[in-house]
Parts: sequence; C-alpha cells; structure tokens
Amino acid sequence: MEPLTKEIIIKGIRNQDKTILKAIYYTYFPVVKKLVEDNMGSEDDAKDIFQEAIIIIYRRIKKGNLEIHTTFKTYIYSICRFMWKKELAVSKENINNLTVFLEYENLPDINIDEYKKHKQYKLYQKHFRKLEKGCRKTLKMFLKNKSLQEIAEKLDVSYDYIRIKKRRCKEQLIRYIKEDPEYNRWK
Amino acid sequence: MKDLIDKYIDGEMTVAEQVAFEELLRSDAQLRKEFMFRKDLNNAINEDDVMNLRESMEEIMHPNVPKRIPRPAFYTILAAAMAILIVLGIFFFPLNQKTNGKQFFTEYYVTYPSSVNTRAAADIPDRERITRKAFGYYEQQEFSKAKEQFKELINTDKDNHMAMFYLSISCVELKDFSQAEKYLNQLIKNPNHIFWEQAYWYLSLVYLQQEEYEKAKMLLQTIVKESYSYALRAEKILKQLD
Repeated sequence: MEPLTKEIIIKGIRNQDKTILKAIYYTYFPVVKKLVEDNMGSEDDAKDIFQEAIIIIYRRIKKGNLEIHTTFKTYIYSICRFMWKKELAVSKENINNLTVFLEYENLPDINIDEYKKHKQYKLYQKHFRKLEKGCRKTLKMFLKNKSLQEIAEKLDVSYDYIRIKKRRCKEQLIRYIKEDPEYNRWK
Repeated sequence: MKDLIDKYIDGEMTVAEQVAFEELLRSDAQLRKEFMFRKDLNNAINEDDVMNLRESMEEIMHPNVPKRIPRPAFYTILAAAMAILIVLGIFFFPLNQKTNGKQFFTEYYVTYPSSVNTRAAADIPDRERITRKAFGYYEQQEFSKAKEQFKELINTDKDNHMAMFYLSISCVELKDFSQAEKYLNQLIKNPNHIFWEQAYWYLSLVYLQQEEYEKAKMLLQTIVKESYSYALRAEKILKQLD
C-alpha cells in the first residue's frame, strides 16, 4: 500500500474511503489508546474519542478550514487529548493528574464552541438513529423540502396522518434528547 | 410556542407572521434558545454524511460486535419462508383460515434497542450503577440477569418507567409472556412517560402471541387512530386480522 501521506489521509476522510479509514485507525489509534488508558479510561472510551476526532476533522475538511502544520499523528493526538480532557472534566473526575506529553502541550486546543456544537449534534443524531424507521423517513423527507402532501402520497397515507405523524416524531425526538443527561452538559 | 417555531422554520408563515415572530425572537431569550435548538436539530438530522462516516468508523473499530439492528439476512429468509407458508396456506386452506397471531409476533417483534450508556465509570451513585449493569446485561442478551436488575430498580423507585419497560421486554425475550403482559399493562395506564407508545405496540404483539385477538385489536386500533409510533405496522396487521 502507498504510504499514508497527509494528502491521502485528507482525501480518504473526505471521501469516506473505508480502506484509508482503516489504515488511519490502525496507524494512529495505538497512541490515542495509550493516552486514554493512562488517564482513567478504557479502550472503548479511546475508540469513542478517536471516532469523534475523525468526524471533527471531516467537518473541518468540508468547511475548508483544515490546517495541519504538524504531522497528522500530532494533529489527531492533540484533538483526542483535548476531547478526553473535556470528558474527564464533565464527569467531574480528578483531572489534575492527566499526564500529557509535553511535546504536544503548546498545540492550540479546539475552539470550545466548535466542540460544543459537535457534542450537541452527536447527541441529536444518536437519538435520531433510535427513532422508529417510519419516523426517520418522514422527518428526513420533510427536511429535504418535500411537502407534507408529497410525503403522504409517497408513503400512501393520508395528509392528516402524515401531518400528525411528523409532529409526533419530532416531539418524541425532542423529548428523548432533552431527557438525556448529556443534553444539559452541552446546552 | 414550539408550534410557532416549527412553523417559522418549516416556512409555513406568511410574511407578516414572520416579521412578528422575528420581533418576538429578539425580545424573548427563552424562545431564542428553543429556536436555536430546533434549528440545530434539523441541521443535525440532515447530516447524512456525518452519520454514515460514524457508522463506517464503528464498523472498522468494532468488527466483532453484532449490530443492534437485526440481521437483515435472517429476516429476509424468514420473510421468504413466511411468504411460502402464506402461499401454501392460500392453496390448502382457501376458506377463512384463521390468521395466526404467533406469526405476526415473529414477523414484527424486534428486541427494543438499549438506551443507556453502559460504559463503566468510577464513583457513580448506586442507582446509576445498577442501571448501567442492567443495560449491560440487556445488550449482551442476558435477559434473566437483566430482569433481576430492572426489578431492583423498580423496587427502589416504582415510577421508573424505563426500567419497567425494559423489564417487560426482558420477559418477552424469556418467553414469559404473562409477566410481560402484566408490566406492559401497567405502563399503558399512565401516559406521562416516554415509553407509552412503545408499550402499546409491544403489548399488542404480546396479545397476538397469546392469540388474544380482541385485546390486540383494540390496542392496534388506538395506535392507528392516535398515530403513535408503529402506526403503519399496526394498520397492516389490522388489515390482515379482518
């Protein structure tokens, strides 16, 4: 396989190329795993953090504001370190003994607003995925600028049915989200 | 209030209404907050690409974990088998063959997905510890162990509807339908919890399994009439029952 250059990595993430994503995971996950495990976390915590770091990078690529002045390893590590610090802080555990490798210390952290938004969206999407399939479909179609009339025809149900259904689905989703303890953390 | 917000976001307001609403937004901080939340929510739901990427990463990082969503292959085979059965049924019993509720149950019953983060953490209160433990068992499909934990949660807090709901699903998984029926019946007595609609649906499936068609029908009719979740499926079953 070709060497994993920054260009290949960025292109791979942008195109969601599974082969490249896999290579990124095998190459860079160990250092993140060590960071998290050395700081009161489990391997699954590390996987969560790693996955979300990839998504943050993906969003930056999409927005066109990804600037990597270091190696990719340092870059993803610093994002993960920031996220893990935040995780520990919100779970109110002792963060004083977070061991950080000094060489990464002077890297800029993620903008807190960017991070907050990321966490909020993640929460919303998590609950959206849990909705019943009919609900997901209805809400999706509506957001794609389909009129309720069109949706009703497509799903072969009455207009009133779909109107009530859409409202119910939306309110159910909102209820799930607001009842999730995570919601208040990132409000 | 929230209806106003949705009307605005969905572009269902006249220009005059929009102006008035924007004025209101400027003066009411609470409304502004709810407005931003609902707008972000729409944007989040629309991020198919991010949701896909997250799924790809999950697949890569957890290759051995069975997906929570039921295996499609299994259901395809099941559906095919049932289709054959139904066709055979038409050939051999052309007249008034009583529909079998157990078939509906097999066709429509899906283990309800777990909804609690089961990650271990230090220093959490007892109740939360038990909750996580319960869902841990539930996710690993160790339903009798899960059942004990959910019961314990209800013992300390009889209004824990979430525990009650998952307790009833655990009972279904253990084929203890009469217990499941008892718990689900309690859940549909009171509409002030988030498992209300789910309880309706699962109770109707349990009744079908028990071949208590009249009771099942009543619930299914309510689901359709009130447009609860699962209304489309309920409608389908009702059509076949008649």
